Amino acid sequence: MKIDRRSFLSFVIGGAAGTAFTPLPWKLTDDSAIWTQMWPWTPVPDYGEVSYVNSTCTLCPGGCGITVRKIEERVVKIEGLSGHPVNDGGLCLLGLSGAQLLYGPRRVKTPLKKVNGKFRRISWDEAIGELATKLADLRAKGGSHKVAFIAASDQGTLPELINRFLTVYGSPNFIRTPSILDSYELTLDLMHGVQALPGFDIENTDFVLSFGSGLLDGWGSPVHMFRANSSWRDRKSTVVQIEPRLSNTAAKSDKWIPIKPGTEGALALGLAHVIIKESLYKKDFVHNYTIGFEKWRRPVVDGFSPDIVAKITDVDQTTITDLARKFARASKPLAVCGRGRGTTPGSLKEFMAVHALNALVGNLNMAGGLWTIPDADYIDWPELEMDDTASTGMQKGRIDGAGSQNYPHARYLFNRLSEVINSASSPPIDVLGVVGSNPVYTAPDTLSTKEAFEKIPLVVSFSSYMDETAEMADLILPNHIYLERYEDVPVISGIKYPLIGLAKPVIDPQFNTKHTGDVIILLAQALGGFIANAFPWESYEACLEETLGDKWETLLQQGFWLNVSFSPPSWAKAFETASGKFEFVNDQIDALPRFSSLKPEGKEASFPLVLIPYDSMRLQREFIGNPPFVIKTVEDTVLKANDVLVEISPDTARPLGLKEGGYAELSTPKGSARVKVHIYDGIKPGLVAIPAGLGHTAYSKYLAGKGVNINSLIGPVEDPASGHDAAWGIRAKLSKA
Amino acid sequence: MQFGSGGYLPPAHSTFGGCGLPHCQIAEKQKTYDNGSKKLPDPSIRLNGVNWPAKIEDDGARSPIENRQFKGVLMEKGKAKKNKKFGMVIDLDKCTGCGSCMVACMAENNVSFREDETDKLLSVTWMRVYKLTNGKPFPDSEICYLPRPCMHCEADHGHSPCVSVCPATATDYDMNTGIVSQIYTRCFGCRYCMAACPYQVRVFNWYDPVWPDGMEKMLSPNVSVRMRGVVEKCSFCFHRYQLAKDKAYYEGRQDLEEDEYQTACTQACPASAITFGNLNDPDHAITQIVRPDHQLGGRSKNPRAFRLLERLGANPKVYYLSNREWVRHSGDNYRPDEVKL
Amino acid sequence: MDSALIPKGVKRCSIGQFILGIGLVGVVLLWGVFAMLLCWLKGLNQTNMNNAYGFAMWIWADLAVIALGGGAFFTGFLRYIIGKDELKNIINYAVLIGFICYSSALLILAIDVGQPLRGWFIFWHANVHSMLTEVAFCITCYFGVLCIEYVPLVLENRQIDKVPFFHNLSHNMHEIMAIFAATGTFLSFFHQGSLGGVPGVLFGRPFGFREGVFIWPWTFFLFIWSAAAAGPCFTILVTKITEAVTRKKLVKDNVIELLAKISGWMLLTYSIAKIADTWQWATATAPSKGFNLMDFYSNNPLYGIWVLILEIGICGVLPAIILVSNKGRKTAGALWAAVILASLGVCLNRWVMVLQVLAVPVLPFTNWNMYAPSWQEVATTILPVAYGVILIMFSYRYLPIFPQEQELNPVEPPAPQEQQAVSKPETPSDAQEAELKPAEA
Repeated sequence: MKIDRRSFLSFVIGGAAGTAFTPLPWKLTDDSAIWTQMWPWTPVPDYGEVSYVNSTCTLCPGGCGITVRKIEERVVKIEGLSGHPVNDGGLCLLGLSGAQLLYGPRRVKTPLKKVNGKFRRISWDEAIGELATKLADLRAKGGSHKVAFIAASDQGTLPELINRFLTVYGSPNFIRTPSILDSYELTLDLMHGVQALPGFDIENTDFVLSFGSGLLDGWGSPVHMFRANSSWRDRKSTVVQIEPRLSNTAAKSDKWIPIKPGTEGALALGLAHVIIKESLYKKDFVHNYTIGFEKWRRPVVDGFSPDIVAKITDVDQTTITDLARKFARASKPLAVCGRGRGTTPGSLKEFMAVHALNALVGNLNMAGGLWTIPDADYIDWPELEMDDTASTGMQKGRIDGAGSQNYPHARYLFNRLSEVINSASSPPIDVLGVVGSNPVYTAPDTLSTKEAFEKIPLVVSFSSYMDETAEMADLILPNHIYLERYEDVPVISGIKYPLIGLAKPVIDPQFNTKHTGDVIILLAQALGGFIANAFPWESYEACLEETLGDKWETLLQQGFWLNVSFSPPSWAKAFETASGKFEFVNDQIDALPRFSSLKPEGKEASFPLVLIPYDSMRLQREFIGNPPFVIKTVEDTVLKANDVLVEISPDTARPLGLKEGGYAELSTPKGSARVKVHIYDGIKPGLVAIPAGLGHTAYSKYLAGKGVNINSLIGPVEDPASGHDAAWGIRAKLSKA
Repeated sequence: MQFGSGGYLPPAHSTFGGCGLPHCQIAEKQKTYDNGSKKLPDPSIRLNGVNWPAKIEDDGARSPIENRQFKGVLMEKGKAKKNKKFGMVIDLDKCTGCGSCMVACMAENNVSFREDETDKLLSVTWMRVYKLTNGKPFPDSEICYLPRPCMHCEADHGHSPCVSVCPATATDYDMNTGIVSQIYTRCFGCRYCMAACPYQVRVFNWYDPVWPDGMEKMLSPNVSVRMRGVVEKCSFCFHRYQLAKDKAYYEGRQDLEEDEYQTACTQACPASAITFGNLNDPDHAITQIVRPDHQLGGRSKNPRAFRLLERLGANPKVYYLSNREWVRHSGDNYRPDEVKL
Repeated sequence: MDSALIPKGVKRCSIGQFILGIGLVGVVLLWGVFAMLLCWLKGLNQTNMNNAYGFAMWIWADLAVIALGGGAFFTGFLRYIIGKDELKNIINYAVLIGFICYSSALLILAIDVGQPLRGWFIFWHANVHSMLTEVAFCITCYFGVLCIEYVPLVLENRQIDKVPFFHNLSHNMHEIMAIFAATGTFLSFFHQGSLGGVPGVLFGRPFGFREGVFIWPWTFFLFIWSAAAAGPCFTILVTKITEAVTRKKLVKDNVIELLAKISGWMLLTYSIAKIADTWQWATATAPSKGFNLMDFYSNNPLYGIWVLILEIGICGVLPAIILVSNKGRKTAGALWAAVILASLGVCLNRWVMVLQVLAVPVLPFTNWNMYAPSWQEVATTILPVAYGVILIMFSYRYLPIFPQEQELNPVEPPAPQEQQAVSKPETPSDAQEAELKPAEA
């Protein structure tokens, strides 16, 4: 048959018309729609049996109880545990994002060893074997004191195991990362004569006077503080926030007093002046249970009258007088300090000045006041037997100088580490273990910290994540993350009761990781001798169960152990100073109230502005970096694409020609960075505020490369009274870029 | 007359999921209530991490029959007869802007995230926390946070701004719960609802949702993952209502206790700033706080309370509380001649 | 080469020139197709729209082309229903422009929705309360009508017309065209009105929302009226442009002037109604929601009160006055200006009614949503323009679009070769025209 044009056309048109009357086009239309409803690249989560496992969140020291929702063997969601004494069902955004840490793309999945600058996978046996050999060699050469460990806490079984290992190995160098706990412990030590944790009876206080503490920005136990704040609203308590910037805490307070940063201590003494002058202090307490009041009183009365203090602090006289009266007349007033989240220890004298206010109003160990909480005492292991090497090593001074003649009161001086290492001719540390912390990111002066870490021959990271420190490490022995492991957590974040939380495995380890506790025990066993003998447990879990004794069952069942019957010792028994009384002045540290503001680093001529960091719940500045959900909540006035926005007041911006969202060059004596500008009415003129917690170089693409790390722009400032880092800011310059 | 509810939808409990096509498999798979699965949902599911019939006095000891009788008592009290009208009240004086509600919502509802989330207008966020300022210079400036879920506007008889405009009946006002639903598999992405919503509650999936390798393990089967090209929004965690009803049904109850159905944000809020419940139930905390005037579209009789853009008449069911006048004033538009500040 | 396809008695440019022209526009078309594919394959992240600005350039283009395409229904209405017989000389072109506009609108919608493959859900799961449902149904139906109106024109091509079936089909279709014109008018009333309702019913958007009589029937009729007024202006404009490009007079002045006069009166009445609507909205509706008029026209880098003045004054009242005056219609420059302004005015009105609505902040703590289209949006919006130009080029070349062209442009004695080539089909073509006339009448 010959196909001509006509028949061809008829065929095509007829065919098309015919097809239109078949179900085919309709079926195709329907099928294509169904295809869009189940695109293979859009995941469909599986159903399965639902279960809940209760545990404790250890992502910050807050100690919240969590309940983990699982579908079969998948962690689907983490929620707050109802009835938990810390958080009672609420949970912060980091805790809620825990599953993203578990399944995060930057988990360290197996032990890694750095060879020629690149990580190579090795087995656990190899990893522990290599480390044990190195440690044995070092010890044999008499260098046992050249081993150090950095950890975020010194309480609980894991830090104690590390400390025990170091001791029996022969090194005094267990280093806790810094926080306001350093200053609070020291304050209680010097003024109360006790080794204790501060506990704040915030649920009952009716007047909170905060010297820059980010009560709602992550200070203390964050969720607990939010609950407290709600109770203050319900009970019509008064909150006064003294801070140069309108933080969230300031925004929620009843009165925000913008102060010149660094002069908070002077304001505390100014308030004390008014309280003393107007005889508003609690005479019963001051006369009967304190010592040194007269000696302390004189310089306060002479040197801190409201007019003088007004000049120092930029807070006007009537505000000072009013505030002092209201504070002293409140029935349960409480003064707290430690800036922001409390990651920098701060000036000891400032802490003591603020604490003296608490003493003046007699709220120590009283309802609504500040309580002294004894350190957890459940760890009761057999006495160590040590060989000579260990004893010799232990007698060598601590590498950070803590406890030495220059720093007699400090227990740990993390902030001195870089300086000590960088100024030494040969490395004073041969092996550094890093547990549950990320010092390369969190330590002030990133450059010098990195330099120091590079000088250490062997850095061992126990991190679960490829963080900045892990990236610099020579060996990574990845720990299980908190959802995969047991860990006892004595809560140190200001809860007014002795409280222990238990983190427990809610899911099997997802990768080839190992509990750091087990690694320590295996190391000890590999080293043999006295060291091995000091660790009679077959595993960390066995050690934990034995250590917790009768608390173990409670912890397993309930997730926490709380000493509800605890009440702080009465005034008569509370003070263990030589005098048995509260000491206003302590001759050991020349604690007379003479205010000299710790100057920020840098010269005013070349750096006319002052840069201060600020904290926010939505930015994690410690060990754990923001998971994707958390970074997603960061406002566009804080981070825009990869640029951080610094806050300045309109008055500061105008002469510099800076506009909202415009680029600027921010430089400090420590470094400089390209930033964007956010013009903010809630900041004192002359200041530049930068959010802390950005500028990660490690972690996944959801966090890395966003913004600037404040620590790369600021350095530590040594507090002459304690040796701790007391930097609250640094001089800076901002110019249009 | 019921306007805007269509008549095309399957029963309310399946309105988050299926497109309604006879052989739409996703519809079968994703419906969380009558999801076509052979198994009844696990009755031991605990919601909210709470042992949750806690509020029913002596509930544990009752047999299903006794439970039904107990329910009869409730019926007599008039509790179970009325339609429910779920709403939320947020105390802005307690809200600290911490962001827990946002993350709780993301984790509960499989909300996707991208590498750069700083363009908030491209971001998929059901719960957005706004930062309000009083506009005054230093040192008189003040800020206040305002969390904004979907308002689940009732408007006039369920004639919500968004519901009536959707051309494909992909969104609906459920008269039984007062919840505005969204069927992701039916939405074809015309975005008319986004134009209609004055609260910017509705967000569009401009991108394919992508989870980093392994992180899709945390996805919950109770909420469908939304594909690129559709609109999504806060559902008041409707799947939790379904689960709670399943449990109640299994236990022979027909009505839920107040704490049995709570949204993820309410549960997570560390400041307990959010109260959620049935505005038609006088025993619920929300009703006692809000004291809604049903004659005036649910306007609150509480002088501390306000709703966003009340003047538009959308009658949202999310209320806010604040002692500060400027904050209450920030909830609506006022002409200069009306301002009494 | 293609002379066998070219209508009898008219002169067209050389095939080379034609192909070059098609090629140039084709490049633009391909650019648009590329952008379209990007939007389909990668999703709407290719645009600059966002969650606060979910309607953008495309929706505007959609509404604008539907308004401009209104010339088809209104000219048809005047020609077939009212019986303005002269308009038969421009109705073909009006139908063609309408066809282009409506097919473009459908294409743009197919790009605009996030899930084009589910687009048919609008029919399957239709929500009768939604303006868009009504719009979708009516536009689709009306597009069908336009196809039916356009098909006879295609069938008039000399070669197709040779086939007796098509010849008769064309003839019969012409016979019943009045029914379709009526249907088209009816459908247009609905969807133009519903498009007016699209912003008008948004009671969450005080800038677009109207109350009481000003939503129904006012807003609906404003859209119908403005399309009926500006559509013919656009038809005139395109005709004038075609005349300029082909350097030929294609439609007699009296036809143009008649259409212009009707448009002028439509535009004038529309402007009065629009002013009344604006007045009510500015003084009562918006203030009741807490807005002063100037709130909508300040604190942003683009939208000033000039928008309102330009839309209603310069692009409404002014062209209306030109067109209703005999002198204005007869002055070439004024007529040009008037039809351009009127077309611009209706486009601006559609922009204001859908895009400024979204730009105006409603939540007091949010800012204006300013928007600039991405290149993909621009390209896909130009795509239908290129497609329209190509369709006009083909239609003009091969179809007897302008009945008066032959009369107005008598062809000089053609070259002998060509004469031969075209001599054969002459008779049927003549016969067809002869037949057509009574049918049209």
